[in-house]
Amino acid sequence: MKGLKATFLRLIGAAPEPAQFIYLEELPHVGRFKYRGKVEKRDDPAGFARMMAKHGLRVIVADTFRGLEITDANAKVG
Amino acid sequence: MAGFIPDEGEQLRANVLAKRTHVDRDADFDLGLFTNVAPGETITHAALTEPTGGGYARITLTDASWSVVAGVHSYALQTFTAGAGGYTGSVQGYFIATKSAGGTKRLVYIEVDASGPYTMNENATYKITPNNTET
Repeated sequence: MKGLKATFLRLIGAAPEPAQFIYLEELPHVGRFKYRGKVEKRDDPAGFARMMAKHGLRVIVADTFRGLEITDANAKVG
Repeated sequence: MAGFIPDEGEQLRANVLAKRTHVDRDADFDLGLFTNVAPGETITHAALTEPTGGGYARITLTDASWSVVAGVHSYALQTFTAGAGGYTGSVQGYFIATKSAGGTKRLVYIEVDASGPYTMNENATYKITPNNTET
């Protein structure tokens, strides 16, 4: 009898994490945030936020891409 | 905006000053541009990402060319100019690292450009006047 040859394809590894996007305030406490880019593995958003806070600048990490430039003084800051 | 010394740079300083270990601090520094979106205090030389293409190359900062007055270390203005095709990757700021031919290259100083990121198309220039103040 001719056998049935089956091939199973399986994705191995963790499901990709949802993309995050990072913004940095342009000037201290003006509430105008500029898009920096998509967060990659070697980035450190929390450490980045701490370092920027020392200069009076706030960081936003958003789950959605919000355009090239946003103005959002009340946004959740990291 | 002021930059900062990452953990790796602090460790290097400790090794040079306290242990007089210079294996990671050969002569001269490298000045480079980075494309990392969010470098925190844990950023290392190994984790840096730099532009590619367009003739991008680090600039050597020679030790003897620094001017040191009252705790302020200054260096003459340096210019990166993107060549044919421009740089690939958005420039987020600049860094200074050891050259360390015999040891491990270390990240000494990094500054995020709050006005960035910049796209370096052909003939675009990015000018930096290195200036470190001990605080």
